[in-house]
Amino acid sequence: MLLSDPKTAAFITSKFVPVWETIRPAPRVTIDFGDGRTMTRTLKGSTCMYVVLPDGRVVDALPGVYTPEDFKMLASQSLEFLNGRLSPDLSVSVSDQEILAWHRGQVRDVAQNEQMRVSTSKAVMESPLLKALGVPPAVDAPAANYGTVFDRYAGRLEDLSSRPMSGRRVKVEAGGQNVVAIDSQVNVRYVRMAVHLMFAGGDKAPRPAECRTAMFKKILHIDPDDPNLGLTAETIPGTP
Amino acid sequence: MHRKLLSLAALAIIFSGLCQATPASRTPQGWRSSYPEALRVAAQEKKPVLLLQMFGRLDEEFC
Repeated sequence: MLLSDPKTAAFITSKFVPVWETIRPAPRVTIDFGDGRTMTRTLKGSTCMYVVLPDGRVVDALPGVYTPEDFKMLASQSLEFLNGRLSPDLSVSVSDQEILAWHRGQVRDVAQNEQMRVSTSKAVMESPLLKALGVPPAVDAPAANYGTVFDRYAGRLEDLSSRPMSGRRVKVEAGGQNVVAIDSQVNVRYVRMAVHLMFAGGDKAPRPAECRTAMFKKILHIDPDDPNLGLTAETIPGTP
Repeated sequence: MHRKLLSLAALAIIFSGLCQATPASRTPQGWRSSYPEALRVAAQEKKPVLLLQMFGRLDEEFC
């Protein structure tokens, strides 16, 4: 849906050099309805998109799925940061410290905006994001402080995103696109903070391979290095 | 456990949403499959790379 959206495709190819790579085969599940019809779907599929400089350093990451609108909004944040730093030599015009500082600033800004949203709401409300985040580290705090907060926050992401989905939600959203919209909202609202914390906790701009564990295992809670993807313990309801 | 299985089914739906319009054996226009090549082109065009890491393959019907 995202990559086939014409406006998104045009946006991507105009602003980026897009490339894909597989990190493991995708397991598939086939349902045989018994009347000759079958349905095959990819199981436990997951993705992460990275904004990468030509020298291989990662500037930003977008784990999970997004609507075209949300993807463009988030990708534009990275491009805005890079704006003015793209020439004459993009690879040396953005320092590691600038990248880390940008993410630290984003942690601060998102937390402040959330605090303002909660405090100005007419309804008495609690912010799951702020509750999970706690007190964000100061912008000039040691990287280890951000790393500690990242581990704690990422560990609570499953609760924040209300996974697993309820059966009713799956039925109601069986068309697929609305599920993407819901997950996209969760990713913008909660996962985004985890990404900023991960970068902020580093001592240099990482390479894609160095982000893999954080993005898939810690944030998306899917371990690509587990050959069974955690499915061996599952038993289908009704199994004798 | 039932809820977890439902969540897996939902993940399948979500992921098919990302890839369902990608015809078999054809990647979306402009997408490359060589990361080193993409880095070289990015340096020439002075653009960042957008790297998609994924389970499966983008050039397959089910990715």
